[in-house]
Amino acid sequence: MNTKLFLRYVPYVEFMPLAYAFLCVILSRTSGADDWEKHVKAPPNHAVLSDTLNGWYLVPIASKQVYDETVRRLESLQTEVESGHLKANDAKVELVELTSQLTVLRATLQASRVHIAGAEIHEQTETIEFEMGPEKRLVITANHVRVVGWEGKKVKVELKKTVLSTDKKPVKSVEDELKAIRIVHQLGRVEFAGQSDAQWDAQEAEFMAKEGANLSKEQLAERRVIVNEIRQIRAYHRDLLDKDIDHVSVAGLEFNNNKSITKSVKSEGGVTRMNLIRQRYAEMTVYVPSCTSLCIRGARRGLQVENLIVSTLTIVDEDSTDSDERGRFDLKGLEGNLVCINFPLQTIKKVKGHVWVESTTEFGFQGAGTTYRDDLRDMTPSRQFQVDVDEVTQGVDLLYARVLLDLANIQGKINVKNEFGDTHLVVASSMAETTHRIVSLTGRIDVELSSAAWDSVNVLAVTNHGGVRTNIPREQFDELDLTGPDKHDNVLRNWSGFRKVVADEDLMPVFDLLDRFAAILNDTARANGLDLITRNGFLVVVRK
Amino acid sequence: MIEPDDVNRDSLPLHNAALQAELAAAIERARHRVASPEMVERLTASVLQLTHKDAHRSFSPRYLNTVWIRGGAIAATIVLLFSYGFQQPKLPEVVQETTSSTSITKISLVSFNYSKIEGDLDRAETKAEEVSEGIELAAIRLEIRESLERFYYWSQ
Repeated sequence: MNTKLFLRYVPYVEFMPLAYAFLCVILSRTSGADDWEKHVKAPPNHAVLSDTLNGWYLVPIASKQVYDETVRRLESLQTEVESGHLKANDAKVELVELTSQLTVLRATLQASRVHIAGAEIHEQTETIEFEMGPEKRLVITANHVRVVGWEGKKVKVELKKTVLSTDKKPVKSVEDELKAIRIVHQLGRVEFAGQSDAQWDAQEAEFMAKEGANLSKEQLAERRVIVNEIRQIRAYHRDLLDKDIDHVSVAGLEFNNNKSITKSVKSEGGVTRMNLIRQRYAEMTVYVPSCTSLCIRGARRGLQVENLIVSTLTIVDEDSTDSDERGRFDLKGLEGNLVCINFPLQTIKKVKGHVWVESTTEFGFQGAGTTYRDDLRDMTPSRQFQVDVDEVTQGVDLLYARVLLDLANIQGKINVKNEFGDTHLVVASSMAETTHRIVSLTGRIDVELSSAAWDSVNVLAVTNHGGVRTNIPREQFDELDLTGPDKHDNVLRNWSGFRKVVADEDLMPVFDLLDRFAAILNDTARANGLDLITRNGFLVVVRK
Repeated sequence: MIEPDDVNRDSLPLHNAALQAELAAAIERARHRVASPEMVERLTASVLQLTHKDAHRSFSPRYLNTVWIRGGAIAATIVLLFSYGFQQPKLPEVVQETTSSTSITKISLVSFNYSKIEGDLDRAETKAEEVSEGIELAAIRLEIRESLERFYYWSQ
């Protein structure tokens, strides 16, 4: 077929070169494809020390390498101490040496670091105030939130808006971008809370009347399971259903309204870095009077909660349109109960109430990544995400998949399952007479008890395949080592560890122990005590 | 298969901290041959008390009974008094001689207990060290963790 003939059959081909040129112009305006050519120049032989919103801190690459190597030596020291291969005195000497070196190196790096801006920052602030509705329930949906309890009668909202630009945009364009970010306050029903039981039942009845008759018994049973699962989603918002709720959110940060821009930097002989980032940001500060409930949704760029008085504070990872792995997520001061679901809360401190957390997704990012070596690809998990829980008056129920969990000054019941992470509990005073437990699959459990705490509670520390260490004498903390059925999953297992010897009381018979292990793992009824089980982790109980 | 945890116990525990401390002091002084007659008497009484208590806790009646234990303890006391009175060699050597017997006799039983006491006392002497090592290790581990957290991250 000759060209002319082909063109007759496909008339639009004549316009294809023009269309291609047009497409190139569009792409060059919207994508970061050619931004590799627009690197910001950094001093030669420099590496990235840390990221900032609009750029990076860079330091001489040689100094950074020495620093990283020294940090790795500190990590090795930690491994040796945890395995018990190093005596405390020797470890102390090495720790002092390493921290001295790191302090000097850090000071050198701080002094030599340079900030390289990859984008320009434009800021504006907006403020509103309003009185809460009769329900006294508030919902905040935003990416970056600070909540402060105050004595004022109204709710005050401040929004600090930020727009980044990587090229010289006209002032009006930047102003339009800033104006597009705004506070939205609504009083009414909240859709995200889902449906009430009555609505679900009515919907189900309607379905059954129309189509239910056509389904077999098996199909109906299967459907019921699925419907029940769906009904349970967001069940924690049930208190918000059928009520007029004050809802504060931010408009203008939705995925389709907040385009991505590229910032890139290049150091000759050093780093070349390109980051795809959002153009618009907003930090919302909300001053909240005492109220019935507060729900914080999103907040994955940062969350600070300070001195709040509220019956129930709920924090959930919903509808965040941006996130920052390096953000801080802290709660310091709450009079009321906390419910936290799959949110990377790092600090939970000074809570006059109960704390309930279920966070089974991974929040760590430090040290994670994929490396390529010859024909191998290594996907390395992150270091454990650290969570500190301190000063809680009415007990904790914590379920984590893998965090480095520090617990101290917990009054009331301690119920912790940290499946693959390490848990460290310090108890300074006597413990409540109830069923405490810390359970893990592969995590390490460290418990430090004062004499008063030890005297107040029965302690059972058991593992299937891990090691166990204690400084409490055998006549007070006797050894156990047995093989018996695991009533949690009906297989035979080894159980070894320590159990407290109580004066004038017989040691618990073996069969009762086996029942107790299952009760601990299932968190069902059992005698009071502090029960520690890690399937394959290391277990340490120290009395101070 | 169920295996009771009491199987394979390798030493007898001392239950009474005051008694343990008293024994430790008495034997330590006896070792240095400065034991007074009163001290030896108290030691004897303690041995009897301890032997009786431990017999109840850790030995099966199938093998031993308290008559044998008491008898053994008295015999050991005689040996002790005799050895102190005539400036015999140090206590551990006496213990060593008697533990060489393989059959369970009055003397061997008591000496077995003595050897256990010795073992426990040795541990008691280093107990302060062990306790501090446990606490030190926990503290140093925490210090390393805090240092790592400090040196991992950089503020803006």
